[in-house]
Amino acid sequence: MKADAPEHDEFLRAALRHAPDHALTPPSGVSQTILAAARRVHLNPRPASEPAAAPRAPVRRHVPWHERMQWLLTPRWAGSLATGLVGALVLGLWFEQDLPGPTVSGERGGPIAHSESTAPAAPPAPAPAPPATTSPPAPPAQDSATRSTGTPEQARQGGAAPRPRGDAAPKRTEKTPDSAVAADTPPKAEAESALRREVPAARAATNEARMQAAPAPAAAPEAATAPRRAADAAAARADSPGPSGTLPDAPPAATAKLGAAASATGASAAASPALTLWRRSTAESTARSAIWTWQPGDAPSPRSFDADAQAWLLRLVQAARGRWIDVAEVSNGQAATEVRWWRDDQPHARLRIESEGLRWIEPGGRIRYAPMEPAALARLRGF
Amino acid sequence: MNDALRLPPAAAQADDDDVALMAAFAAGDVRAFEWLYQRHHAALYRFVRRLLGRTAAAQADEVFQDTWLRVLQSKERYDGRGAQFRTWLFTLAHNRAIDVLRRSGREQPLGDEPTEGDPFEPDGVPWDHWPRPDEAIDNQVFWRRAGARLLECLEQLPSTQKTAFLLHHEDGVALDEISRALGIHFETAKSRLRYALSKLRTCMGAYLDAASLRVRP
Repeated sequence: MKADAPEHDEFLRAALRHAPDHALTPPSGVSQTILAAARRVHLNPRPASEPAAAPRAPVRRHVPWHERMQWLLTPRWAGSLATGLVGALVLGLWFEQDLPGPTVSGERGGPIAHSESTAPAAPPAPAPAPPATTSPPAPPAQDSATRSTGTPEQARQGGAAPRPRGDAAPKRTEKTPDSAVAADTPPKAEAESALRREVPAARAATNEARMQAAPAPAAAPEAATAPRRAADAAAARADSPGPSGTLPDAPPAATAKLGAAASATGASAAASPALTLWRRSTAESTARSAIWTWQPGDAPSPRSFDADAQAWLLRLVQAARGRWIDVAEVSNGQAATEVRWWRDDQPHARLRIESEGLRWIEPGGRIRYAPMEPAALARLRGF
Repeated sequence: MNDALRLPPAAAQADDDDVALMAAFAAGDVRAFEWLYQRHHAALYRFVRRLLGRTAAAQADEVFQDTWLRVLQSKERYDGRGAQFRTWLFTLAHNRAIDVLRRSGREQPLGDEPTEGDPFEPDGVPWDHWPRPDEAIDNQVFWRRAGARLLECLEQLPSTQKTAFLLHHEDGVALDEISRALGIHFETAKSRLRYALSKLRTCMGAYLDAASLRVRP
């Protein structure tokens, strides 16, 4: 100390020692916090953005889980979590309300093409008791099940993307889904019985077992929807290729042409668009969730896609099963009989019955082709 | 304070030195820090409370805690060559307290801050009739009143002078070390201390009137 530094004032020093705060100590909570921080320093060798000089073994200390989660209780994180949850809830509700039923569900069916071409349709869920007078409408669950078997191309066209209508602007002439539904039953029953004669008994038994494995519906809806389910399953089986991987029931010439076309274009086997359309139109017409119309051949205007039309489409499904391939050509350059479908006045698909096969053209741009024998094509031209 | 703190760690037993304790703590001995804390926490808390005064007493815990956290963060940088641990510790607390006072706008202006070379001019007549501490040792009432009055007088000092007085008189830090720790010239530190002593003596004398000095022999 320098020589002229002021010396200690003993009186003031004594007064300091006797000050009322002389025995003051920090609160125990503060002390515990500081000492806990000291322990944590050695748990975490790099605390508070200070550089660590050398790595050392951290002192292990058991930290209860609720202490580790304390950061979640801070206003910042709690607010963020709450905001995220509310946002997710609102988005979920919004999607739930905004999505049109069949279309969007079909868009979600990523792996559906496989199940469509190889597996029978899933049995529909039970429905509320239908009116006893008419053919029972398909339950919403059935709609969902059918929608779940949609294909990616369905997703493309299901969005009802506006496309120019071209020459044939469809005008819905019949908006009587009730009558269409009422007349639905007899032809469907015929088709159903025909299909049942075709399928082996073992596969029918398997289908029945699957149907029984589904949640037990009410008795009346079960009885009413069973034929439709059986028809769905039969149609799916009819459309799927045979176990050998070849084209069952396909004439050798058609098979050869199909192989040639596939090898020439690099095309591969595709799911049946006819079966997809049949399933969807049947389900939606029955549930009255959409209005389907079609214009077969030389018909002057679109007409209701009624039971007869569905039966014709089912014949098409059977005739062309396992033959569909993706192609690029929109036409073979020859005249053909055209069939068009509309869903809620929006173009849905176009079929060209050409001289050597069927060409399925969708508004989304996907084109599929099924080589056919002339006799089969001729039968299909008889609507 | 828990019982563990009363037991000095092995490092403290071998070398009862703050620097050694800090080195032991930096090497991973948590109990070395606990011992350091045990040795200095009361004096540091008292220093912080007095430095902040009544108006900023609510921030005393914060300043005290931040000071020790800075010690934790600087455990590997402190080597004892710059200043004694206690001086360094109190300097950390002083800087933090000044920050708090500045932030709250309660720091007193430095209008009477002495500059280097200014002659010492006591702002009043020093009161020199205090009893000697050993003579008044039995009169606890007097000294308690004197201590309470001193705290009142400290409230009137600028923080710089208060720091100089508290470090010098309460904690026994030499002036040259105060000047080094605070980063000021020695003469500045000395002037601050002299101003502080002068004001405190005057303030204490004004309070301890003749009637209260009956203890005086």
